Amino acid sequence: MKYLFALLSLIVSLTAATPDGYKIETIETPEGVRFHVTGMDIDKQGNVYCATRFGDVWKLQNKRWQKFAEGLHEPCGLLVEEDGSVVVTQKPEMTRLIDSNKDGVADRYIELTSEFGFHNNYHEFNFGGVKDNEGNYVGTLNLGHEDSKAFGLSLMVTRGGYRGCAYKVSPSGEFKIIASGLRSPAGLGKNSSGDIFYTDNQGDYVGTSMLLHLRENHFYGHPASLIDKDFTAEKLKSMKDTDFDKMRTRPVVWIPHNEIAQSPGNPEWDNTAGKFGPFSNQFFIGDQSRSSLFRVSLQKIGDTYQGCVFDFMTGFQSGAMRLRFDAEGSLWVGETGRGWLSRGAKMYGLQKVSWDGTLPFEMQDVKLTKDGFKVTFTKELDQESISNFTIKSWHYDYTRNYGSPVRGIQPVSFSDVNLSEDKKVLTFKVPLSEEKVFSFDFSQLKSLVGKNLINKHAYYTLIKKL
Amino acid sequence: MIKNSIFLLGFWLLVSVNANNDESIQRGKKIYETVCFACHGKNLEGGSGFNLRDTVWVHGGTPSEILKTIKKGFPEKGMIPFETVFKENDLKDVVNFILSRQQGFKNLSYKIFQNLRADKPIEDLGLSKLKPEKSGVLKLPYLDINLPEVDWFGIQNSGILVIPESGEYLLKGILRQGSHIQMLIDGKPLKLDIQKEKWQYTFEHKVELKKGEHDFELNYVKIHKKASFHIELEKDGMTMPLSKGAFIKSQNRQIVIASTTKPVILRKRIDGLPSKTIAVAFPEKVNVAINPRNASINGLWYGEFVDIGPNVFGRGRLASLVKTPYIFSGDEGITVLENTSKAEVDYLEYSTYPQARFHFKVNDKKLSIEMTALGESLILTYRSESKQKLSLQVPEGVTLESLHGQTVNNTLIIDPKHNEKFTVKVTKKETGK
Repeated sequence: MKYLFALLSLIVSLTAATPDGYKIETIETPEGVRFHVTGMDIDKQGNVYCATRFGDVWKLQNKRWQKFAEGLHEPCGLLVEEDGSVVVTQKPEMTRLIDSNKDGVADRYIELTSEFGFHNNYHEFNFGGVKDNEGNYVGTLNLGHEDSKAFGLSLMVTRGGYRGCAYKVSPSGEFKIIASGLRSPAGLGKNSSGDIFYTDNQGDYVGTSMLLHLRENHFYGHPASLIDKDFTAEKLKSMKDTDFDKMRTRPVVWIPHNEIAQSPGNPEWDNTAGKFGPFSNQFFIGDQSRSSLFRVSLQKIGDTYQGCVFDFMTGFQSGAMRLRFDAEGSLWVGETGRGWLSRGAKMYGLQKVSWDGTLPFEMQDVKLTKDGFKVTFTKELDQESISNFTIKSWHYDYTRNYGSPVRGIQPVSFSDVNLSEDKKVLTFKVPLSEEKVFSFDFSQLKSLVGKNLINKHAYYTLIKKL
Repeated sequence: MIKNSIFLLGFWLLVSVNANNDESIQRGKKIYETVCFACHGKNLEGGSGFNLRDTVWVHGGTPSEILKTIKKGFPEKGMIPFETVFKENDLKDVVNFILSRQQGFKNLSYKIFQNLRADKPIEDLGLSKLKPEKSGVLKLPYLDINLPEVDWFGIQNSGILVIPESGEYLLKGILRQGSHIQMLIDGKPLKLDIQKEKWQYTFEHKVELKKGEHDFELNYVKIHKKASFHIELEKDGMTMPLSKGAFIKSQNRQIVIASTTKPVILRKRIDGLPSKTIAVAFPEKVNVAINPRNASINGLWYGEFVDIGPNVFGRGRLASLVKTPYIFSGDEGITVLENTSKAEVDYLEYSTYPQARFHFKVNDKKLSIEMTALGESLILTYRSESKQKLSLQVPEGVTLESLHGQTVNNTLIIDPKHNEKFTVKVTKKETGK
């Protein structure tokens, strides 16, 4: 039976959209264990730690699983420290797990913080798994749902206690709120500069899922958490969505719903220096619903990040929620299909993506220029095909309604298409406007050997012009 | 839980293991209802044991395989070898009874039409005449529209629907789109009256069905993002899941956590206890809860620990269940007082080695509470750095005994010279004494 499943997953990975050179390997998880991976990290020795939604922490060492901890309340973030202790964010607290008698099993469950409200609402997730440059642990607190006693202007609500906020806690337990306006911030990650990013899921006040740059004292758009700031319920009820719109920080990228993601997990920075292919220094993000991976490349303009979204791979066995690179440059994918059903048929699991060195024909990057865009490809283009593409732009509503259709969709003209001498970089001029998604369709583009791209679309979020 | 799928292809054709008549089935029913139901459910719907009325058989689905499974059992999984209890003919009756209750789909296959758009009515799209990009047999005998990898598609599921008894059935559906779904039974399209309800669409359609096999066909063209797709048949309070979503929803939702050799410490949402509560089970079947907010022992119960199923399945919306009555439960129970007042409590951690122990700061002085069980009693060992007069509130339903203090008016007053370490035995108050 096991071989049958292995064969099936192999077939799936062959038929789905997968760039050349990448393959999915399914990792066997402990038999009979509900292995919904919602927290994952890899230590310096290459041991893999997984927190499961069921409440365990498992350690994979020398290809053998050992249960490191149990009885946690739906942990949704995990990181391993150099001293071997493990920090998990579970619903009621952020907890440090220590194996003090060195028998391989945690025996101390130390509270790092529980200075936030948890009211037994199923949606009050506590996400984490990231440390800032000062060594603080960073977490994000999901709003509640379906709670008549809670405050809210829309679907997602709060009973206070900093729900809908991001927080940090020092190793000694000093708790501080960083930012507000979060909705369902299901994944955290950081880039090589140590800037912290999180994803938020489509819904009320979130037209489509987003990647955002987490900065101190910023408000990211969902007003429920303002009840913990200097706002009364009456004041918030009297405010219009246009008022909140003026206060909110824009995302790094809007992630098109359906096309790319419906429930994104944590952003994982490709710091593999090329071991995972030509996408170094970009984010990889998993999607729980589509059971897929996509990429985000960043562009910093002043102190503001914006960037471009590319689909990467589909065909995972279950919802891709947690990503982590190992020292060999393989990308581990922790999966759960529970709750918000995933396209992958399995309810949970763990897979690993590795690259065999074959260069895929893909868009490597899209960057904004002063008067248009610059698109870099991994391989040389056929000069004949370089103008065979289309561009559209659109935006999303910002309202208390659940999600937004694409609005104001229109074709965008372009001119002055130019291919670089090495035939890999395409530049063109485009009439630019801010707070829009620019969607590129390169499906008719050909490589020098006549191949089409596997992933044909790119979605650049233009917040600020250069 | 989705069982490993081994199809019983053609159970209806196989030779029965006993004279397959109504009498045998009735005899089997009696045995089933006295023994088997406890694990497999009153209506064979499954419980701690598998569902026995669908067409999925983990240990083989021919009559002789089912008989062998019952005879030999799976002692390590709690199913005894029933050949030690019943005669072979009795067990054959049970097999006949089980097989007579089979229902649902068989030979269910799918066809996927990629990039098909819902740009005209589904009848006009004519899925049956289109050439599918992919086709195959469904792994589980349930309708599944969530197979395609592409964003836009049409899908057809077709197979044989086995109906256990003749009569009027209610076909119920919950889905995310109000059109472009079509169902045909024995070649006749059903006229579904689909209603919009908040986020979703529902229908209820009465249909007269005869016992036995019916051709079934589902045609579906995606409009809304892939989401819930629950289709089931109802009759006289019995529900037959027809889609994979409905099947998953129908599965046994119990996950009972138990302590066997050492204490188990658990944080979950538990019915009757406040959020952030930590629960502990001992192998002696003594279960206790502690509230980290106030260092109070805030729950005590005996027997089964907790069923966390409701807090784990689906989105985990519901509380874990304690199925035996609490001796006491709430925000607090056995609470430490300092100089007869409630103290300021800061929870620090718990440790599991060598004993279950909870660490606090109480009015800025360290306090730990270690827990063990002795027979039916809970033993609490407190260690405090406080030099003040400590006492413990005694909740209703229990008595507290200690060599280190005495009880006055529902308060156990500790002799301050024992603050460093004092032990308390908590016992359920016998009613009527």
